Amino acid sequence: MNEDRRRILDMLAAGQVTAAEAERLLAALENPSAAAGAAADSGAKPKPKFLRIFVEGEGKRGTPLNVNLRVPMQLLRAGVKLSSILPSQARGPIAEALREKANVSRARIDLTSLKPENLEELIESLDDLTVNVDSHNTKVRFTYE
Amino acid sequence: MIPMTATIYVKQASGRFLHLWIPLILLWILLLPLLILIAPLFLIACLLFGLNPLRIVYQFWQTLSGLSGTNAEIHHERAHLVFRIS
Repeated sequence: MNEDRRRILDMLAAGQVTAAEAERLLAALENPSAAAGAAADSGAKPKPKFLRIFVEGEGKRGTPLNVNLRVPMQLLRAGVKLSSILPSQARGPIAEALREKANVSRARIDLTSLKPENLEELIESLDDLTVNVDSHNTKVRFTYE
Repeated sequence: MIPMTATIYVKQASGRFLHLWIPLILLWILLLPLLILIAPLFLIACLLFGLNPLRIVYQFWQTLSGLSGTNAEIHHERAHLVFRIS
């Protein structure tokens, strides 16, 4: 008897799991691929791994220009965490430079409010989200996969 | 895992194309002596700014690892460009 099977039986003996749950666990041990399929059927969606950005626009002479970017979510997470280790001496000038840019482009970015836990929350809420941005002759679409 | 290869593919409307396969592992090997040389300076900078050097190295490693899977495709009537890191 292998260790996993013994542990399940011990849990059943201790009353930590019901007989039906123990049966399911034992079945999963015998056939892990079927268990994975069942988990997928039960609605457990995988976390998005990539951010896709599609840009459909026009070149200088009105010719079509398409851009398709795939950015790993791990890179976004690492980037946000990297910003959190910036020394306090550097944060002031960076925030100041971003404020100046924001006055020009009206896009407000505050690095100090960018936190890894916020990003995780954002990623979780991005499930099945598609963002379409239409501007003049340019279309931007964000999807997660 | 840090990225090991990068691929650049450019195809012009005339049919001419360029396919470059860049073994990034060689780049990392070449940069290794340089990293060893700048390590003392990095440690001094960390001490001056009160930063944890291990945390910084870990975050840089994570960022570098995160690059794997990056893919960019630009399609124009005159050329088609694909850039891939894996």
